[in-house]
Parts: sequence; structure tokens; C-alpha cells
Amino acid sequence: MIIVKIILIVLIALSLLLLAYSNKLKNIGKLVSIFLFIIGSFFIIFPNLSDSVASFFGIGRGVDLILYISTTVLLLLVAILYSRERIVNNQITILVRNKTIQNAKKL
Amino acid sequence: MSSDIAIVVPIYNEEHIVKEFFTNLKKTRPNDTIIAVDDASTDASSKILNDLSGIYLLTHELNLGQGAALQTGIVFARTLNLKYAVTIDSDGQHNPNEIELFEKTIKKYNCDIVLGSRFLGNTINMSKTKRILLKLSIFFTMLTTGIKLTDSHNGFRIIDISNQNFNITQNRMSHASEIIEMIQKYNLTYKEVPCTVVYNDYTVQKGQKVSNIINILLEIFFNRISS
Repeated sequence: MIIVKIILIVLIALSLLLLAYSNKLKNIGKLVSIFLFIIGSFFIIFPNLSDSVASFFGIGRGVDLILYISTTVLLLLVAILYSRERIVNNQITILVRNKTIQNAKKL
Repeated sequence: MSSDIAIVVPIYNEEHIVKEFFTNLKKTRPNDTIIAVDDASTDASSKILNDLSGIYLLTHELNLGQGAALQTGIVFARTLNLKYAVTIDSDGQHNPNEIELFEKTIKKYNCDIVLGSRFLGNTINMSKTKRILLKLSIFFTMLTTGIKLTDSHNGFRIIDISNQNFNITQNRMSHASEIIEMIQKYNLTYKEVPCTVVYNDYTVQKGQKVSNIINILLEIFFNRISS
């Protein structure tokens, strides 16, 4: 059990630290990542505590609470990534279009 | 004497028909400026296009979609100071002889856009499912934009491109819906004219798959919520 806990903590530490120290996130995002790391590690070390937090919110088990939060966060991330992708696509379109027009050929 | 009309033809993998199409188009509309926009075809289309003469050839380095190809052609036509742009499919669905009616209508009524309607004109070999879906899309367009058309998703049109508001931002297939939304948003004046749409094995294979309607609806939905 202790090994699983260590692996989990190392994994979330790596992924969140990677996020926190990449240039993609603004300061607030970095703080949120560090906060998520602390909360995540805390629940991994003391899983029973998540049950009490969950029951405070009227949810049966701590695992359920974590599942709900993760799903919501994941969906939110997908939506953010999707809108970023649209912005990048628009920029690519403009680049390709400008170059196409510059290279227009009269046959 | 050259006219003030650009004919914008988006092309994506049309090697079997592209030569015949442009030869016919040039013969039918010798005074118009023909702008072929090759949307990064992966077959021999690009090579065949390069051997043609009397047209402008624009080549996207990446495949961006039909809407993006049309917009590229329109932006280029503006640099040539042309007033009108005809959009027509290169798969042989539309008949270039009918461009004359589009031209006469837009000039006579001095409107911003003239849309082709296969339901006012003719459809040859259209499947029943296609007909039902097109009718549904007409109804859907009417609900969302309040604009009552007899055919909302027809690629055959003539547009007054001196109106700088007219810009297609939907790269893929939902540009047809976007054009109708533009009519509503900018209060563009429009007319419909009858046109013929031919369905054969080639055009059905090249054209919109009926199942693609889900993708189009999703595109429209995301466009609505993110704009």
C-alpha cells in the first residue's frame, strides 16, 4: 500500500510541477497546480479523511467526491484546450492564406 | 473584355474531373476571372491544374477545408478589384451555364448575395435521405436565423465582395450556415435563383456524406457558443 501511495504522489507531483513550471500557465495557474498537489497528496496519504470531507458535502464516499471533481476538472480542461486549438487553427489559416495569396500564379 | 466577376473554385482531390471542369468553365465564361484554390490535394489535381492556362491558381500548403478555400479565393479576388465572386463546386454538381442567371439577378436587383436553389430548379438523382436532410436543414436555418430559404446548403452562389463584411471564418463545411448567419447579422440583401444539382456516383462520393450532418451541427454549435 505504501508503495502505491509513493508512486501516486510522485506521479501527481511530476505532472503538476511540470504544469506549474511550464510557461503555459500564468501565476494563478501555477498556484492552483501547487495547491492541487498538496490536496492530492494529502488525500493519498490519509484516504479516510476524504470520506469525512465527502460526507460534509453530502456525498457517500471520498472516492466519489474525488471522481466528481476529477471529471469536472478534466472536462473543463478539454474545453479550454478546444478553444485554444480553435485560436491556433485560426492563426494557421491566416498564415497559410497570406502565403497562398503571395504565391498566386497566373497560368 | 474582362468582367467584374471572379469564379472561385475550391479543389480537393478532383484529379478525374478537374481538367474537363475548367476547360468547360473557361469556354462558358471566357470573360470572367477564374480562381482555382487547391486545398492541398494529395492526388494529381495539383499537377493537372498547373498544366491549365488562363486561370489563377492558388495552392494551400495545408488542407484547411472548403470554407477556408473559398475565403482565400474571395480575398484574392478583392486584390484584383473584382466586385463579384461566384462560388461553384468543382465536382460537376453545378452547371456553369447557369452563372449567367446569377449574374443577371445580382445586377438587376443590386443585392449582396444570390443563392442557388435546387428546390426551385432541378435535382437529378437526389436520394430520398438527402432530400429529407436538406429540408430539415432549411427548417433549422429558418429557426436559427429567421431567414426563409428554399435551399440553405447549396454551394452555388454569387456574392458582392465589395462588401467587406463578407468573410467566411468557418474553415470546414459549416461555412454554408455561416453565410446565412451573415445575411442575418449584416442585413444583407439576397435573392434565390433556381439551379440544377446533379447527383451521380462521383458527386455523391465527393460531396457531403449524409452522416456528416452531426459534424456540421457540432461546428455550428461550438461557433455559436464561442463567438
